[in-house]
Amino acid sequence: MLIQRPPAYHRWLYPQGLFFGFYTTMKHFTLNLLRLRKMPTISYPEQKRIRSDCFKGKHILTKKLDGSIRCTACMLCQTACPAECIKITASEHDNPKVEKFPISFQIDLLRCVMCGYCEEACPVDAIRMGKEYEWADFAESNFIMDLDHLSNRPSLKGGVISKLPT
Amino acid sequence: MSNEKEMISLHVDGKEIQAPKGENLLKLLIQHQFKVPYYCYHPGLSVAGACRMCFVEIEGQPKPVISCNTTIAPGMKVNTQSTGLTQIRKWNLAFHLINHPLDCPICDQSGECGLQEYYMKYGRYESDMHEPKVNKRKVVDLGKHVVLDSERCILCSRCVRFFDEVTKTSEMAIFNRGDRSEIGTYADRPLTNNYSLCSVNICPVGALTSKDFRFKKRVWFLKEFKSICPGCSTGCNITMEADIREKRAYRMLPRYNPDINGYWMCDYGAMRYKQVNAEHRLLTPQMKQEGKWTPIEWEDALAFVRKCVASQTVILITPQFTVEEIDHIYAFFMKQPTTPRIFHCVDPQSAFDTTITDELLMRKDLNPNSQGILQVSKKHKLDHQTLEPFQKYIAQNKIETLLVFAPSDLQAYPHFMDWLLPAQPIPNKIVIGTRIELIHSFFNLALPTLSFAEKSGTFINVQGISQNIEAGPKLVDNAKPISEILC
Repeated sequence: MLIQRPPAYHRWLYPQGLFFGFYTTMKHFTLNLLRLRKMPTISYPEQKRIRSDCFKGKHILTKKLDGSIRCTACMLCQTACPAECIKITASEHDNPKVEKFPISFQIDLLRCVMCGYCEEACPVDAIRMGKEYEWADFAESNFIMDLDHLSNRPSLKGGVISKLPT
Repeated sequence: MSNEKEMISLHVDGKEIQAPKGENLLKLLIQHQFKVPYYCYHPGLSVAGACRMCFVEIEGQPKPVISCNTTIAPGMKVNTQSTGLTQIRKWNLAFHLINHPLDCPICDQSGECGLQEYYMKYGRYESDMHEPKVNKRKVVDLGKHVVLDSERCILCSRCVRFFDEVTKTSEMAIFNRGDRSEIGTYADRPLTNNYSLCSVNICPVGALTSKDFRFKKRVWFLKEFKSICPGCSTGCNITMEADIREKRAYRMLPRYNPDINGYWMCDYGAMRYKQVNAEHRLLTPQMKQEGKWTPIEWEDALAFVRKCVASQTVILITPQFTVEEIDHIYAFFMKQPTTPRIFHCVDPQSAFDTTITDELLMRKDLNPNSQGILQVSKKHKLDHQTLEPFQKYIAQNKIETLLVFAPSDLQAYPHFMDWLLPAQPIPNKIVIGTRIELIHSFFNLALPTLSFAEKSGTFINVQGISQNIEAGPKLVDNAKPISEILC
């Protein structure tokens, strides 16, 4: 059904709106092009942002001074984990002073919510949240990190040693 | 003369309590759930008074007394909570913790440790000791089931008293004096009695740990189910502990029942939990096709069973099923048109044998429900059909189908497959059970059913006491209860 509406002459004033719109765009374009003000944009990936020390990235398993793994497999991180992404299998260590150590330690990065509760729960500073955040990959199975990857991946350059007393 | 003890009344924290004369005060306080900490006292053992944690105030007495060594008296007025008592408990705990290592993160007891619990409740202090902790031996192997860590021991002497008083083997003792005191066996001899795991269960700290459960699981992941031990005809009351998320049973602990097992259970029984886990189980229905076992769908399997049962059938039942299941089997086959022959393999002589074969509890008959099967078969007037008539019958008659309800615990029947040898010519041999060993060249079809940890039901023990088992989580997804297989 055709409804007859009263004529709307103000529609003919659109060039004014067009002008102000383009004016704003061109203003920002020119200012940013000439870098006349500080913009937070960086040209990632050539340039990378500096992360603070409390950034929560990919997990690291720290080592003792002698280079062995620091984790005692107490399962407190597994207990604290809200995403249930940690799976530890404990085993008997040859040294009776050490007694218990993880024979396997798996974190499923796809399940992980990066909350950092594991780091907080750990009584021996064995698990830390690192600063890495670029872990895109093609297969789901590549996101399950094992003990070796967590403590010894190339980006850690030989591993992180925790100097706290054991 | 009546056996009833004279009842007397006393007041605890202003509450009036009736109790039999001569009762131990701490036992009474635990029974009525007053919060009194204790380590060395155990209701199944004698009183040692070693830990000094269970102090209470009794009106009219000049000093607080340890409640474990106090006998109740009429009109007694007991106080279990006061600032003075909290101070006593706090500094008592400080003494216990002088040499106790703070290795809760790797200690198996943490989560169910008395020391940890009361420290969070009463302690919470910084250590005042300047001297380093005395180091003692760790990871001492004490036989097949027990590992000792003498650093963690608080010298409550429960284990020593257990081996002295309950098993009467006196294997453990406290050696040396002062802060060098250590528990252990003479020259680290292994514990050879069948009750060594009880000492692990009663240890209030992590000094004695179970070799089997050690480092397997933290206790807070486990959920408890009340069950009955399937290891022998004694029928000890147990709690089954399983991780529901992982679908895995981890241990069996004794549960108090004064008529049957008291506070204890044997090591043989405590290891029976293993048979319910998936690696020992038949996971799917399997059929032998052209000499090879292949997994099949339940519908096809059940159709095959229905077809076979319609022909001339012989049934053999082992006494490792619950009374309800056995009753279902009998009732199902009794109403079949072709009268099937139902046999059970209970030897009535050993089923009524109450002689104990080890130190305390174990019986010769290694089946949990021999009495149950005898009662059910008597109800259906088939109790005379035991193993010998079965072998005679299958040798003499032409049968088309053999249906075996196989044992889940093969320890009870090491020669089980030998019994079936005369049945070799029968064309259709179906087995219903839980174990992976049932995929045996003898049978044609193997159907998985539920283990004792996954179903509820009744076991009748050798004394004729019927006891209920509680259903835990389903550990094998594709297993079906007997009532769904035969329907």
